[in-house]
Amino acid sequence: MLLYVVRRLGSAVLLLLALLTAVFFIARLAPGDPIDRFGAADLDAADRAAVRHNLGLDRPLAAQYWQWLRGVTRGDFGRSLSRHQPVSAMLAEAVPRTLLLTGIAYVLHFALAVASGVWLARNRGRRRERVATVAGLVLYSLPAFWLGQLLVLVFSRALGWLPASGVAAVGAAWLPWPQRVLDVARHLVLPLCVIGVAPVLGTARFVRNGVLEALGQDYVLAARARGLPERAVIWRHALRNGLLPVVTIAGLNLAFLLNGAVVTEVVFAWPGLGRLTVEAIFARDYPVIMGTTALAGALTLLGNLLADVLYGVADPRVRLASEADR
Amino acid sequence: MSAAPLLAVEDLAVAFKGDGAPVQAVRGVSFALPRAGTLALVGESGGGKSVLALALLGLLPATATVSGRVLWEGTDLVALPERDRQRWRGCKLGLVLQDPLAALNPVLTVGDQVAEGLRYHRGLGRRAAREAAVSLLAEVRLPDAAARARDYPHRLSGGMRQRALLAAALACGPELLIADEPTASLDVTVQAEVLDLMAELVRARGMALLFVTHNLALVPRVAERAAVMFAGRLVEMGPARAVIEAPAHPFTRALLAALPERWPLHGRLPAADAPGPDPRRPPPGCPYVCRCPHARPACADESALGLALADDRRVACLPEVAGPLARGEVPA
Repeated sequence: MLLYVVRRLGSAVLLLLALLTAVFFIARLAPGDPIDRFGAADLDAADRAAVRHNLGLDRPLAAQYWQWLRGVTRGDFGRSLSRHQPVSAMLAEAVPRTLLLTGIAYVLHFALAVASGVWLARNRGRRRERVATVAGLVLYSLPAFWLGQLLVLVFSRALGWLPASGVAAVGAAWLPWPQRVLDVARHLVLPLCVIGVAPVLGTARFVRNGVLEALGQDYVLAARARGLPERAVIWRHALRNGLLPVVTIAGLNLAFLLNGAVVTEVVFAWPGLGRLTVEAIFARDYPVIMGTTALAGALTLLGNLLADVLYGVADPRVRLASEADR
Repeated sequence: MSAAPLLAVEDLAVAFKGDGAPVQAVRGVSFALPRAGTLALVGESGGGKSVLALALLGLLPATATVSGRVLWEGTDLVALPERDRQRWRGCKLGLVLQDPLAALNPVLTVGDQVAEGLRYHRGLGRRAAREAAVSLLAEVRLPDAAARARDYPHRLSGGMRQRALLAAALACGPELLIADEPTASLDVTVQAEVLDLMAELVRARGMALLFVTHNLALVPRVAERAAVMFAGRLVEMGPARAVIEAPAHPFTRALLAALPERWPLHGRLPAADAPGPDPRRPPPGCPYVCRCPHARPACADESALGLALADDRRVACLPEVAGPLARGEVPA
């Protein structure tokens, strides 16, 4: 098992390196120049050249790449071109805000998916299952930017129940902590609906199919023959087997924790990693682009690895196979 | 049969809804099982044996319609609401299925599955259930029961799994054990071991046994009586030994003739040369006419069928065919 994890980590590092190399050069191939964003239109050619020289942008690409890579191995992601802050400080500020949103969305999403998947399985073929499936499919298909703006229009503009943007109200930092928590929670509701709740059917269908398949197995018949109540048959026998494919999805979706909320963060002006990435791209802020890519890429690869390990935890048969691997 | 049977099945019929006419899987089956009585239900695949077993447990899918009565000491199980039937299962009726790997949940330990009936029916706690599981596994002679209880099913051999399933079925001390082809997937030596163990436990615990099988040769090993089923109907019933030694129904004869043990190596086994009747439109009278070498027009007349050869021996066949057959003669 350990050897397996080490081997997988090794190939993950190589993949990450390939990804970063590709992103480094693609970002620079894109038209535009970071200094255009500094209000540098009135600079003359000599000043522009001086700025470029100061930022190291006039050096050969390969040299810039090598310098960036050497910095990364020391944990230094460089400085932002547009905000003159260390990239690591910007990431450290943005990541917790993103994790707050996506972490809750992630847990909420899978909890809802399991509950509604079981419900769909139990109501298979009934009218209410068809109605719920169509409704869920519509919600699932709505693009995040459209649904987000619709929710803002209804719940913020028209009804005034919930804030439309940001993490906290202005001046919330001076409130006592229970009100501060409530304030952040109110800001979380609409973004959570967009990324956690709306796409639930996508995952719930896997739960439903998994449970239905398990319900047709002999071990479920045997469990029923022991006189187990239906809820025990479903939650204890069928769901645990039906969840195996969902565990894989959950692992693959770990990357979502860092980069799943890009559009939603932009719509709700949530100052997290997604919005940081988008702003960095528009500003051609290469070091920030590289930093966010590195983080999201590393987490994606780690998520895949974790999915495989988790699968072994959920299914003892796989555990056996990987023990034999040792 | 004793005066007050444990289980009395009366005119039981099962039909499955589907496209077109319903499939009549079981038709007009009646038999009784005294307390501690053992009955083997024998027939070919698709003959309705398993459907009948599941109907007794109330575990047929929603597409099935069950009519007739299943009397348990006078209580009609067919008419009971699902909540009460659930209490019957596991507590009074135990089930052992054919494929022990498929019948054990791969993600739960063997001990968890053996004891779960106790946890739900008797409200046993985790620790008490674990101890009960270990002693049940020891009762079915699983070596090193405590360790096996912690194992997942894939670590056990086929015979061990079947013993574990037997232990799970016995957990709540059922009064009737239904074993649906419990050894069909095991090799012959393990098969004999498991069957003898089952017969022994049935005797020791004073349980009744309904043993479903396609293999007539196994019957005398575990059951006193045998009922032969064809196309959803009982065609012959009587003491196991008598049915095997002097089969009276042509189908029972064919079933016996098909036992591989009776044929020399490389010889051709007799195979059924015609499919069974269409279960959507079963013919009137005897369903076996399509294959019967002694078929005659009277076979379609329900009232002409039915013959009591002795007090405890019944055959659904014409007297002029079944009588000579039972005496080992060829009917005219």
